[in-house]
Amino acid sequence: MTQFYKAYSSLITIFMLLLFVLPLCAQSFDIQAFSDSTKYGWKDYNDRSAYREQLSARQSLLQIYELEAQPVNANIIKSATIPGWGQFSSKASTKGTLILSTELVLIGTSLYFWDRAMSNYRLYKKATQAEEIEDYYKAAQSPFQYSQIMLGFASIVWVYNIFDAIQTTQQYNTNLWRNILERSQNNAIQVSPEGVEVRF
Amino acid sequence: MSYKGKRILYALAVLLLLLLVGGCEINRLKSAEELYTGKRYAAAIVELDDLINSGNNGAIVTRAELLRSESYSALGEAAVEKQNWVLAERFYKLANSEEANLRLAEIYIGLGAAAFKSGDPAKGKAYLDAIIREAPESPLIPETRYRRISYFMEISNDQEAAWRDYMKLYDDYPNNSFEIQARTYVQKFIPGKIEYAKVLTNKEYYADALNLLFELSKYPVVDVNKLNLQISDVYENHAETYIEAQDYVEADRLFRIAMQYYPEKKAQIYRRLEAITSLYVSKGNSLLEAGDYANALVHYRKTFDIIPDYQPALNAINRLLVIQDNIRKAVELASDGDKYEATGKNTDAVKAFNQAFALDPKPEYKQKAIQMQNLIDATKNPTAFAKKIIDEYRGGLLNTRIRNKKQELLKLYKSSEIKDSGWKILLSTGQYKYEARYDLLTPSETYLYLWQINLREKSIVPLNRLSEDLLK
Repeated sequence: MTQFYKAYSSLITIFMLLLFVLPLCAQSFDIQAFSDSTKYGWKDYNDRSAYREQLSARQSLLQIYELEAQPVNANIIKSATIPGWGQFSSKASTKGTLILSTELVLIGTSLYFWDRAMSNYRLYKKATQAEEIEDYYKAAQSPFQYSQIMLGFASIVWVYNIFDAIQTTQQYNTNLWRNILERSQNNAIQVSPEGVEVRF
Repeated sequence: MSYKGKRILYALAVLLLLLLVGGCEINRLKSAEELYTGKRYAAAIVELDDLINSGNNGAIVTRAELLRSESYSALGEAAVEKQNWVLAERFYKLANSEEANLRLAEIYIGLGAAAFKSGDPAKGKAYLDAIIREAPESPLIPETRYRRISYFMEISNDQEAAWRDYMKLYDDYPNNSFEIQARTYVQKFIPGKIEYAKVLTNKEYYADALNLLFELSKYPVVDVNKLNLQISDVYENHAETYIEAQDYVEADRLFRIAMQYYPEKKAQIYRRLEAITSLYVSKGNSLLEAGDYANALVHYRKTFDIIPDYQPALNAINRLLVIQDNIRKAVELASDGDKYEATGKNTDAVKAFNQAFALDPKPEYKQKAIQMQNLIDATKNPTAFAKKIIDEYRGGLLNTRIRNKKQELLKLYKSSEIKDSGWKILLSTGQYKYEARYDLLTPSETYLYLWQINLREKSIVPLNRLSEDLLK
């Protein structure tokens, strides 16, 4: 326990040191470069206007995106509660099924070994003979260890499941935005800030 | 696993989770939003730039771009408060939103006004140009255009530039208060433009004059009545050039356009149009004489567009129809004449050709009639006819020359020494061809004249050098 705290405090010390030293190494703030009005590639009004129009068109699609997008935090909570739920929400049902079934198998196996260990443990508790005591203890020890290993694996899968829920949700949202853009481009009728455009 | 080991494992798992959650694009955006809320705009922009450049989710990138625009606007506002105009201009350009453009235009117009006030009109004009260039959708554009017109008129004396700005001002903001004010400036040089149109008209640059006048007519800075009169004058002058070129159709069209633009000219133009009707008839007559009946009829009929049932044109058309009828009949008669000729009815052929010539005085009809008459005469008494041809040839030239030759010989010889054969008419080779001989013989000289006479053509051809010389 003491060793853990020692390691933790030295980690914090290094972090604080970097926090103070890194700004000293950083370059000074260049206001000219920062305020250069052409730094985004807009040479004149026409360039700026073209960008503005494009941004405005994208802005009008944000509302649709907000309605259809999956919140990352909600999916983390879902996957933390039931592994694979976040993936199901992000329309990655294969991944969700795999994670859920793996998790169920691992927890089930762990419970099975736990039950076996507990049966032997109960017998061990009731045993009065030295030989019986030793045999039951040994018989309880091995399933207990298996149960713990399975539980460990289940924990790893659970952590991975949360990590994957974040990744899957982000990917889902990225693809969703692309789809919305494609849909808006393929629409015969387009609503833009300048009015309604009908394509034939 | 020991208790210590488990704690380390849990701590690492939580740290990993925090790192993963922290690496989310949405969290990076939230972090930038917090910086923006905390008025740390520059830091927010740096973070947003990074997110925009590396972000995969287009929606988050779009939100980042919008937030970046707001951050630049806030920085621009801060620069305005510190009266750092250069920085404010740059930040508003980087903000690149409609609101930022409006603020940019406000800054420019303020700086422009200050420059004009401090006696630096060129700098003031540069700011006005900047508004038009950098914020062309700003509501300050009418005021900017008005101020530029004022600059062009009062400082640079560039009327063309002022006119261009006024046209744009009126085209984009008709009846705006600044447009109405600008009219006062523009009306100062409009008479000059109308005068220039007159010069162009006098120099026969009609299209240029009309372009100028039509351009003026679009804007409420000209007396419409005066302008229409001027346009009408241009069309009238142009029409006169077509009359000179005898293109009365185009002249008539232009006169009518002139009348539409200035109806008060109706009586004057109508008189001119009446004159054109007589010109149409004259031109039609010329075409009729030249045998271009279709175009002649077009010209006669064109007069009815100006004066319906114009009598001289009606008469001319009747005359034309009679002529056309005569021509048709003459063709038929000539055809009959040819048939008579083929069947040997020469008297009927002569009559038919003479009648055809009376209806349509074509030389070929007359020629055919003469030929037929010659054939009749030749058939009746060819020798006498041949003699008649000799006697009539070039007013009796042959007889006179032979007589003269004989007189010359009589000076050299006695009358008894000269032998005169007189005319001898003999049949030659070919139909209706005869030979005429005349011999003058002396003891030492011999003159043998010989010609071939074509009874059909009534022509004479010398058949030797002596006869040829006699005809010279």
